[in-house]
Amino acid sequence: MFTWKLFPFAVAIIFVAPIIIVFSSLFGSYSDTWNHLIEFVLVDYISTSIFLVIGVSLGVLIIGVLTAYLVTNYNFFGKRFFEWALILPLAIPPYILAYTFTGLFDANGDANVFVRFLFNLENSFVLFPSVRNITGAIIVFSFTLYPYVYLVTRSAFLNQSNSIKESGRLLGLGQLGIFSKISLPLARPAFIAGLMLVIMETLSDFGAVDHFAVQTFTTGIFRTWYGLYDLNTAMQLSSLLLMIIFLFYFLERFSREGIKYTNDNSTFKTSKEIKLKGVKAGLAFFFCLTPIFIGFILPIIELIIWALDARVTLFNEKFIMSSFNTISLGILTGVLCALLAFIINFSIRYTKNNFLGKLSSFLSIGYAVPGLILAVGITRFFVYADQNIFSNLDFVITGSLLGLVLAYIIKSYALANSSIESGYERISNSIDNSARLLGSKGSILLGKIHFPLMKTSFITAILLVTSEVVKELPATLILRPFNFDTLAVVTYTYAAEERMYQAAMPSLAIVLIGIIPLIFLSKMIRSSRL
Amino acid sequence: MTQNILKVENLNLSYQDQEILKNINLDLALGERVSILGESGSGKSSLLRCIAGFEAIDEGKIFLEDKMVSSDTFTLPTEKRRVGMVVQEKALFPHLSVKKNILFGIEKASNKNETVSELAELFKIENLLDKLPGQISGGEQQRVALARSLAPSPTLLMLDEPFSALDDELKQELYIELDKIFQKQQLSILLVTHDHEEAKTLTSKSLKLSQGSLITIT
Repeated sequence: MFTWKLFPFAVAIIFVAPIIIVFSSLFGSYSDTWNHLIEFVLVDYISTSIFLVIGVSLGVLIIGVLTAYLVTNYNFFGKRFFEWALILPLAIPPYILAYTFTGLFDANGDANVFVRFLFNLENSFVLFPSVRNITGAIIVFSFTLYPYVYLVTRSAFLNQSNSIKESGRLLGLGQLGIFSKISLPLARPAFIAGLMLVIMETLSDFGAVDHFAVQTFTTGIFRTWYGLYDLNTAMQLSSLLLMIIFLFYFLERFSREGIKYTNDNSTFKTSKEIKLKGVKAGLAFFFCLTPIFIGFILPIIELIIWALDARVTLFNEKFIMSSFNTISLGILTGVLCALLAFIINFSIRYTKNNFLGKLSSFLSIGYAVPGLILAVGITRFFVYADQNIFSNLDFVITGSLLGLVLAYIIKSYALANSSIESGYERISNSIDNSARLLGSKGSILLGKIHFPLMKTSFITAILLVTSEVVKELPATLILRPFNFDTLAVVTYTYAAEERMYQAAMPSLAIVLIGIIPLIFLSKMIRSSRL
Repeated sequence: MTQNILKVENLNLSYQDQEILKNINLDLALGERVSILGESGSGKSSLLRCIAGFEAIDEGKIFLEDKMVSSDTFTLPTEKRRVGMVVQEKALFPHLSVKKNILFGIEKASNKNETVSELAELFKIENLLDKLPGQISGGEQQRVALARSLAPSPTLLMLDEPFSALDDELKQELYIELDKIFQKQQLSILLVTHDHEEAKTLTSKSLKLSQGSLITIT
């Protein structure tokens, strides 16, 4: 029993160590670089981040909430398709959309070239403005991250009983009134929770803002470390960003608790869909199609065109090796994460210890930590371990795959945990009691009873983590061993050199793997009343 | 001459080729209270939903205060009908306090606060006004639902098995209070129930819906 209690604590220490190391930098000395940052760029980082967050928040709320309301409450041409297709942009990491956007909308981008060709215009004619700025970043984040808001808000709308809306109508409200005075306020905790996730993702991003040369915290951290070679100041800057992100993390948790009141009615009545006709149906169709087109179809078309144009080097050694590295790392991390979540959830169930339950949900905090900051913390952690613990041994862990896998595990544990946790909810406690009455306990109960019953959840956890690992860019960029490339790194490197055609194939591979969890989500979405 | 509040003429309603209501005719005068009895699935709730405008009818006509509100080609939207309705599940807005629930339909009225105070006193819910629906009991929720539906002064109040989830003692208590309130306010009531005792206590006339057709029983 003691071992089962001890295990989650041991995991928690390893998870928290890099974060504590980052925060500890605040209590150390401050270099000239820090003073330089404070004096010249910190205000820029903060103001740009605030502007970015406000713009993205407005964008995702408008797209996510309105599309969720339309597909939940109205019937129009394409509605069944939109219900699940609206989550497709989740498969496109923001940095890939950023790369395709520059390829499309730069002065000599495909969109401008196409317009010039179509209307026989001069080469100097530019229809689409440059996207390499904060407005471009806002558009990219809005169209890739709105599904976070869409998913939770749609679930909240589905959980609103028809009786409540009918009461509103009896009290004089029309369609607009029902939306603004009943449905929207009731769904507020849900879309606020989704919005917090979007804000965390926006603040954590490195690839898209770096490509657009937008000065945010993450680009600042990267430049301080890799440009000014000042790890300590990079950690101090990371601490500031981490504090802001944790604030949003706890706001998200707080909002999630508020979701409960939306499905209080024990006598739930499903809403009848309102049939839209004519102009209204057309507007609803285009409003739902636009985010899918911009966030998924357009980048996919562009990537396919690029990949076909670069067919000579399509399956070169670099692509094959980076694909192999990515998939192996993804599966390895997936298995390790699923095992950790499985053992920790078993420990909670077996020891019936509430504190362990809280500890497990605390471990999910890693999801909120930007990959870049994890990389900073883990590097310092490993350097310390090499200098003080392994100094007499014949190996070093800094720069090994270990750091990379650890960063992935910390970042993806929440995904594996949610899958394992929901799997455990379906196993009745009476099964445990029967097994224990028959003499099974501890590892036998885990291996012979729970594991066979949890296979689906286990595989789901592996797939979810794998698809997340495949997309992760900043942690991989920093922690990968020398000459070790993944698809994300290859994509980043090509895009940084403006070799978009070569970046297309690895980008498509990332998107393809990113679609896996969406298949699970789309299955759930059709019957997603909580 | 007695003012006619509700008139239903030859109403027919079907769902997917199944006849729910057949040739229904019904009149309700100002202050009149009528109950509709019937087994589960007999179409009682559907009739109220047609009158409220939630369902479009296949044939016939519905008039509210002599104005046609439903026919086979026309359905006046619910929000323009000025009818009140209370259902078993209460359907209170969970994100609004009791007071805001009652105020909901009369936000633009000049005497809205007085109306809330009067109704709160009438339904004995003065001490609940600042609470959320989730913080009060089922019986209290039902009182709030009734107060809310009466706030906009509807000419017709429809009650769809509103007391079926309450215990007997609470029901008896509510019946006595409601009887007084309905009399005082000269409300026309259409009560759907399967409880004969409830029908007898709260209404003066009972009709029975059987296999989609309406028959007078008292």
